[in-house]
Amino acid sequence: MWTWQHVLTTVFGGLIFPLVIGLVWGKLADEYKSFGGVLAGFFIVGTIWLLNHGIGLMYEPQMSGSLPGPWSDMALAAFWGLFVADLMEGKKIDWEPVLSGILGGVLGGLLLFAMV
Amino acid sequence: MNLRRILMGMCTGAFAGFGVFTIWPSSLARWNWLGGWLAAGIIITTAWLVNHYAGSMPNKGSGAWVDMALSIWLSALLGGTVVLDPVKGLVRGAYGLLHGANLGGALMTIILQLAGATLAGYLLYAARRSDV
Repeated sequence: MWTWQHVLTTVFGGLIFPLVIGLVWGKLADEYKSFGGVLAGFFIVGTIWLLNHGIGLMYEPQMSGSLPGPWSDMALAAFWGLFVADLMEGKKIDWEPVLSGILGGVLGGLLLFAMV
Repeated sequence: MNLRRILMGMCTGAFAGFGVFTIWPSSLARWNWLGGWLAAGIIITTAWLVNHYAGSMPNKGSGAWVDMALSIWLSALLGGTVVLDPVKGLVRGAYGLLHGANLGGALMTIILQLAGATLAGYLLYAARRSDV
C-alpha cells in the first residue's frame, strides 16, 4: 500500500537523478571526454542507483508477489527531467531521437522477453 | 527523418536496454549492493559511449535532448528483467507488459517519478537561465 512516506521518497528519487545528471555529466564529459563517461557511470548512475533502487527510495509495490512486474526504472526520471528542462528552455521536440528511443525500447523489451 | 539514423539509434538503444536489465540484476545477485554500483559503470558507461559520446542516438542541438534512458526504461517495462543467478543460472527477475503484466501496478510509481523529474527539469532550467 502507498503511504505518504512512499510518495515523498519516490518523488525525491525522481528529482535527484535527472538533477545530478544535468548538473554534472556534461562537465565531466567536457573535462575528461570519454573518460568522463566512465566516472559518470559509476559516480552518478551507480551511486544514485544505490539510493533509488538498491536502498529503495522509489517504491515499487508491484515487485512483490509471485509474478513481479512491470518494472518502472529510474531511467524514466532521467529521460523526462532532461527532456522537460530543454522544452522549458524553448527547444522543440525532435521526433528522430524520440522515435529511436521508443523503437530501441521496444526491441530491447523483445530481446528481454525472448531470453528466458 | 533519416531512417538509417533511426534504425541505428534503435539498435544501440536496444543494446542499452537489454544490457542494463541483464547485467544489472545479475551483478546485484552475485555481489549484492556493490554489484549494483559496479553494474552502472559496466553497462551505463559503454551504452553512453555508443549512444551519446559517439552519437548514435540522433540528437541535434536544436531539439530537446532525448536520453538513452528512454530506451532503458521502456525495455524493462515491456520485457522485464533477466538474472544470471550464481546458483540457479539464467532465470527471470521481473515480468513485463509483453508477458501480460498489469501496467496499473506500476502506474503510481511512474506518475511520481515523472512528478519528481518535472521538478528537476524546472530546477535545471532555472539554473541554466541564471548561468547566462
